Amino acid sequence: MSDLKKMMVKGMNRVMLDCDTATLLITKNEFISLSCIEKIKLRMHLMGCKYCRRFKKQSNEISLQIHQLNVDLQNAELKLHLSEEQKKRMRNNIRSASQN
Amino acid sequence: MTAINPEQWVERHGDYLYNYAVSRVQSKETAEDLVQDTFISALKAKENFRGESAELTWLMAILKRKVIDFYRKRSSNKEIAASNFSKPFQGEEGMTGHWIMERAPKDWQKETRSPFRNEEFQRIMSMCLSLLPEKWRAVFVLRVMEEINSDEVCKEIGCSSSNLWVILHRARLKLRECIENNWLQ
Repeated sequence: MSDLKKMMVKGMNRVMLDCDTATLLITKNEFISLSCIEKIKLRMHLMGCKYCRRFKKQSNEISLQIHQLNVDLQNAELKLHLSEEQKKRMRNNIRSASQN
Repeated sequence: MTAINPEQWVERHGDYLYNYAVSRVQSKETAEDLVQDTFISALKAKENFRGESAELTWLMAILKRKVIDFYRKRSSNKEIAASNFSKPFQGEEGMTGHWIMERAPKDWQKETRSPFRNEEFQRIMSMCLSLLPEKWRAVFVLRVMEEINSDEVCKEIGCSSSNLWVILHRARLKLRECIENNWLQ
């Protein structure tokens, strides 16, 4: 890459986010609120970058699925079941621990 | 005061605790151990149980602590960079910080032939979580799944708050990529 091009990219980065920073902000934004400048920079970046838009959408999807895991648990929709053997083992251990 | 029935814990709450534990540690074996430990700890502490909360709530609180301890033990002394994962972004030689084309997010809607199925997605997600470096997995599970606040998480596993974001950032990049590679086949 020529020096001129490098300088242009550097200058652009001062105004525009790169995708690495943009995706970091997308992650942060799920947990804390971003500063005004960060919000504006992120919005501008997302307008021009379909890959980061996809990242955002897919990250949301992953978070939703994780949330769903918790909801399923709360609704006692249990996918896994302890086998009789496992239960017996646990009961025995509880019994011997309570005798000590 | 509610009576305590340790003998009946397994039958009453075993499956629930087990499902929770598997979702957090992504291993059936470890999950069984944690549930077993929970019952034993509960037994030892049963004088502390005042019956103010339901039995299951009380057991869950103990198990949640076990999950945190599990990750705390595993992530102590482990460096953040202990992974061969390279970020999917270009380095100095290209458009620094921009996606490497082959690793940029694909259009999931367009690429999947099969319809979106929660169960399948969750199976892959869990598998991909298990592949994260220990410390990343610790941060992800405690911060994202357990919704423990950042300061608390850092205190448990030993990291600074800026570190936490770096770890979470990398964990999500790797997780997304892993899901994509395994799901869109």
